[in-house]
Amino acid sequence: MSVQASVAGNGTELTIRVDGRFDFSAHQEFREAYEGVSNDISQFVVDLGATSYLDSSALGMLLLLRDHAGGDSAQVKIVNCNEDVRKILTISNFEQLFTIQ
Amino acid sequence: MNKAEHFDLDSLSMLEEVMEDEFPELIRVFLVDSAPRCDALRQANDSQNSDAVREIAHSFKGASANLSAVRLAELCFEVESAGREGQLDGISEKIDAIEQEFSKVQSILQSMI
Amino acid sequence: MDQIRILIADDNASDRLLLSKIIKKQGHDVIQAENGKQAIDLYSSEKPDIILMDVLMPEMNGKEATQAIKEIAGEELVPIIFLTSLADAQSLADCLDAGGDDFLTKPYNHIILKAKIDALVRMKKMHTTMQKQRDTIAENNQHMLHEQRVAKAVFDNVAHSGCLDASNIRYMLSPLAVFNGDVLLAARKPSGGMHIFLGDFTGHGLPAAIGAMPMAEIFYGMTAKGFALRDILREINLKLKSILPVGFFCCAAVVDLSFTKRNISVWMGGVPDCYLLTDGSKQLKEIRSSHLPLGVLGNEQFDDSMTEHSMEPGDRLFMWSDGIIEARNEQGDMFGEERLKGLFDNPDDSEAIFDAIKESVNTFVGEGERDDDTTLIEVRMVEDGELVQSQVEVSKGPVSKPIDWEMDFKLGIETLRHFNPLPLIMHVMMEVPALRAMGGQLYTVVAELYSNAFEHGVLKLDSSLKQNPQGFAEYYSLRERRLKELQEGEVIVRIQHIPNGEGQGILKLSLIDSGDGFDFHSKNREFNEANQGNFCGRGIPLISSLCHSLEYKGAGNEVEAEIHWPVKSS
Repeated sequence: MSVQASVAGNGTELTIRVDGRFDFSAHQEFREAYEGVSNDISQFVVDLGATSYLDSSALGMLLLLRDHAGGDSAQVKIVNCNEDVRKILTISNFEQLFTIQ
Repeated sequence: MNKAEHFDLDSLSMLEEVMEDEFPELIRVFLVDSAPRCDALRQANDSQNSDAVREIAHSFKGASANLSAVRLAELCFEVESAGREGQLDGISEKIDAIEQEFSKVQSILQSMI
Repeated sequence: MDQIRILIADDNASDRLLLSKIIKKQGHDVIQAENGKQAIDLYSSEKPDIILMDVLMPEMNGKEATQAIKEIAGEELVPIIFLTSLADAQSLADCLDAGGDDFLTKPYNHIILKAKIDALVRMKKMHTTMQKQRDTIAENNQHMLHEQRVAKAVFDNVAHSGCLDASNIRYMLSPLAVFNGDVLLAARKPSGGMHIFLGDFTGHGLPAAIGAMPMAEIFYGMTAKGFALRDILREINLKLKSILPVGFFCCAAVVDLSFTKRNISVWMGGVPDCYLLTDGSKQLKEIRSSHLPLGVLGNEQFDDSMTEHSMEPGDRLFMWSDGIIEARNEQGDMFGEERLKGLFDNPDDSEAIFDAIKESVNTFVGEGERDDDTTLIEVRMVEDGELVQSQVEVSKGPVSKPIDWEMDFKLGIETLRHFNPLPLIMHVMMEVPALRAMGGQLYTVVAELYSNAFEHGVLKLDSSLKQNPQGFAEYYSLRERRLKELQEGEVIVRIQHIPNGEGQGILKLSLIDSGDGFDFHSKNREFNEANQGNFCGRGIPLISSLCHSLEYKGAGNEVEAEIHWPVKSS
């Protein structure tokens, strides 16, 4: 499991990539990836292309990110989901809160 | 007598340094302890008691080694091995050699006090 | 370097002298033994920190003494250095096998001995630190286990006031479910039917248990008071949103089962599909989760919409948490939805499916990791009245028995300006269990009566204004103005309950306003003719079915409604 963060789009977009199992062990690193970034960041992207598995604590972490990004006014995208990950997000109806691609 | 033939000189001088003012005491204790050992060896050999021979020789060897009397320790080791193997033939001469060597070691040590 | 106590066990006097000199020079304390037996005795009485043990000694050799001492020491670490003139590797290895921790060969080198002693002292310190940490961890663990036992006991009391043991329910729930976040609640509705709740909290352990408790209280309390499931869900969502930190939520499947209407209303947020088996097990319907889990959205965005499905007696609804689907066997494979669905293919006997699921999961998991996370419930539709009546759990309140009581309160002008007494009046009336089933309808009646008393009586607004749309707008702007200008006025509310025989009672609700009243005699006749009764500009068809009587008194500024229970349904 590893978490990598990168900034693009003139410093306004933060992409966080989670490789491997996205579960409770990712908690600290995931938070550190977005806490303390500059205020210029207005868009958040979570890249799950290499994520093998997502559990309910990962869902909780996504909610925390959304809360940090402004709650209801936040713009958070979740991209590159594989079938299993997509399924979990669908059952929880997270497309009501996030843009999922 | 050449001290170097009977002692490891470096080891001996380190011992003197470590013991400081108790060096004479160490020599005295060694000599007192070891005095009966040659006779004890002879007796054990006469009774063909190889276990006793082994044990006495082993103790003697250890004590000698501590005092850096390496030649003496070597001789004791030979007798100890013979005792372990139960081969007491020809041990008598070796015990004589031990006695002679001990006598020389004794003189040298006494001269150092 | 800290000072320690070292025991020298050697049968040779010169050895002992030499070693003690070296050790004393290092600042340590020395005790001496001449043989193995003495060494053991001295260990027991002096408890040295380290032992220098000669291998060959009379009376008892070094190896035997070492074994004995290590046994006496038990958990304590007492490093033993063998003193040996043996030089071959096998003999040295034998020393260590016998329990020694290190060896020192002759002739003794004081530098090496010092280094070895220092190393062993470091090892002892580390050992002591680890023991302390282990003890602290063990103690904390005990505390935690105790706390969990208490939490579980409290939770069991809260969660078991329900009807999971009803004859139309079968379920599988680990006794430790509270610690994996799974919750199963079931409660009979006072008006008949049932509410069922399957929940799966994020997280494990106490955080999950804590969220479940207020939730269960709300569920049971509101169900017993006759509230609709949508309102209960909204209340639970609000509660969880407010008490759970961001990122924590409860996935849930919630069902309102009506025996009379022979249907179910379902709300699902974040749980796997549930299966509805109907028509003699020939039809399998998958019901999907279409909502976000509870505790995520604020009250405004919360969606309480439910889907309806008809269910005939004999039909069965199966629900589960994701624990079943994610149950793993030794190889790490998941049980999966495919396998689960497979159990529903060609079911000859829908009765056997529940056990088939249990067995299939147990067999699959085998020796694999038991998460105890498998929560499963089967609910069967039954004929109305089939369930034993004694299972109805009625929430007890101070006035829930059919006894005599009366309550008066007067609302003065300031109160009237700011306070809506309807919830209070309703709350009091809902304390009578038999009235809970028609809470919604009663509310309409009470609201109408109060509105009349306040608007027409106290504010003296004329209802004829509301005959057309423009009039309506004028009516309400006038209402606002009069409310502001109001200097005096009052409404008196009286609620009275009297028993009327075994299992029967009468509730009387009176309102007296400070207005001038109206000529009700002519209008009264209309009501008593049991028709639409165009009172105050609005039809109240409900009143005639709900109230035993409705009477105006005095100048028309006093009204008394009488409700008899049990209510004969029309």
